[in-house]
Amino acid sequence: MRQLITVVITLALLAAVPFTVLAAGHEKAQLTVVHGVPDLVVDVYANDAKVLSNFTFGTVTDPLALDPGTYKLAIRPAGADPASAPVLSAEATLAAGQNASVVAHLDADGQPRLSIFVNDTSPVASGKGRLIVRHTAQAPAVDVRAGGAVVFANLANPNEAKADVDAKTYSVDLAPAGQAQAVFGPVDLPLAAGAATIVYAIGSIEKGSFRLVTQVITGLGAPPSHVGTGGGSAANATLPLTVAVLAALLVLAGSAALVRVPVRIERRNLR
Amino acid sequence: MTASTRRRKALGTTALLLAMMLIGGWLNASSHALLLGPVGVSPRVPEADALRTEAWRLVGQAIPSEEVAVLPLPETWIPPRHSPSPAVEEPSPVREPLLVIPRLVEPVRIRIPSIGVDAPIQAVDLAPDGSLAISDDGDTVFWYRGSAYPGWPGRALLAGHLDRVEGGWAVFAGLHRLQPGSVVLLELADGRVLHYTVTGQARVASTDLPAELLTGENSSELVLITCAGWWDPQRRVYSDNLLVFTRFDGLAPLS
Repeated sequence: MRQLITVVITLALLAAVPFTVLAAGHEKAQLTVVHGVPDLVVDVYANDAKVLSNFTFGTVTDPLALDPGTYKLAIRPAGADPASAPVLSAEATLAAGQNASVVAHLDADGQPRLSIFVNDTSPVASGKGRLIVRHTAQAPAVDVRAGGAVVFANLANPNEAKADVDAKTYSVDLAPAGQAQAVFGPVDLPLAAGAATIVYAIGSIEKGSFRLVTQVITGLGAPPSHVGTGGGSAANATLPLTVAVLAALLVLAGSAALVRVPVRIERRNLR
Repeated sequence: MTASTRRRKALGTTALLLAMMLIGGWLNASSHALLLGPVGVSPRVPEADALRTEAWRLVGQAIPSEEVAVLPLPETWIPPRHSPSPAVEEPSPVREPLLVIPRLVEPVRIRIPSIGVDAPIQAVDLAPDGSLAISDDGDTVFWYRGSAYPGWPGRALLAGHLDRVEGGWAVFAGLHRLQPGSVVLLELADGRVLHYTVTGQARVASTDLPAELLTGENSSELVLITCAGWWDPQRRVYSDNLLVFTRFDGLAPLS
C-alpha cells in the first residue's frame, strides 16, 4: 500500500513537470482587400460567400484570416443578387502563412480589373522599414521620389516596386517617368521600423479621383537571438542556494532511510 | 526483508528521486529538449474575436480625419492620353483625402495589477549581434520595435529584467506568478489602454529562442519575456527565458 502511494506521489510529481511546446505559427493565410475603383460601391464574395458589404472606394480592409486554398473572388455592385454575373472576378490561391492583397482598381486605360499581390513579409533588418509602392491607378508611369531622389523609376500600372530603407519619415512625391516636375506631393510618409508600408495609387488621374491609400504590416523584424533580461544578482544570492539546501536535505533523508540508520517510523503515524 | 525495511527503502527512494528531480530540473533548465512550465490555451470566444477585430480597427486602421494628410492635386499634372470627361465630373462638397495612412502608436506604459507591475516602456531595436538591445535599467520594460505594434496582428514582444546587476529584483521578477486569466494593461502614446488576458507560460533555453516567437496566430498578442533558470557567471546570462503569452481583449474602459 505504502509503495503504491509512493508510486502515485512520484508519478504526480513527474506529471507536474510537463513537456510543452510553443504555440505553432499560424497556418492561416491573410488576405487584405483594397478598393481602388472610383464611383463603385460593391459587395465582395469569396467562394460564393459574401465577405464584405457596401465596400467603398479608397477602403483598405483589416487582413482576413482564411484557410489556405484556392478562392474564387467576385465583385458585385452593392446589394446585387449573389447569383448575378460579377463585375470582376479572379481566382486566388493562398498558401499557409501567406499574406496577400487583392486590389480592385482601374488599369492604365481606365478599365476595372482585379490584381493580386503577394506581400513580402520576410524579416526586415533592425531599424529598417519596407516601402512597397503599387501602381494601381489610371495614370501614366511615374518616378517615385523621396527627398528629391528617385527611389523607384518608371513604375507603371499594374506593377509594384519595393525597397528596405531606413525607418523614418520621407517626403515623397511623384513625377511622370523621366520628368523633373512633380505632379503629386510632396507628402510626408512615415515608415515604421520592422514594418512593411504598402502604398497603393488608386483612382483616375483624369477624373480627379487619384489618391494614395496605404496598408501596413507590422512585426516583420527578425526575432531576437537573445534577450538578456538578467543581472545575475538574484541568482547569486538566493535561488540556487534554496534549491541546493533543499536537495541536500532530501539526499540526507533518502540516504538515511536506505542505509537503515535506525529511524523508527510507526506504521499508524504514517497512515 | 521486513515490511518496515521496504517502507524505509520506498521512502528513501522517493526522497532521492525528489532530490534528483530538483537538481535535474534545475540543471536541465538549460537543456534544449526539456521545456518547463505549463502552457494553457484559452478557448476562442466568437465575441472576443469580433471585439478584437473591432479593436484592430480602432487601434490600427482607424483614420480620424484630423490624422489624414490632405493635399491638393497639383495643377501641373496633364493627363497624357485623354481629356477629362465633364459628364462624370460631379461637384463634391467634401474633399476626399489624397493620402490615407494608418497611424501606428507605440506603447508607453505597462500595468500588471496582480504582480504589482507599473512601469514605463522604451522602444528598442536589435543590437548588431542580433540580441535585443536593452539597457541594464531594471525599472523599464522594453518593447521590440520589430515585433507587432500592440493592437495589430501578430505578437508584440515586451522584455523586462528579472534582477539587477547591482542587486535586487527587477520589474519582471514576478512574471512566473502570472496565471491564465491574469490581466495585463498596456497604455499607448495617445492615451488609449489595451486590455490583455494571460493565456499561459513557457520556459525555453535562452540560447534557443523559438523562431515563431513573433508570429503566432493571426491575432494580436503580447509576449512578456524575462530571464529564468541557472545563472552562468562566466557568460553572464541565465540559462532560460520565461515567456508569458496573452490574448488581446480590446480597449480597456476609460477610468
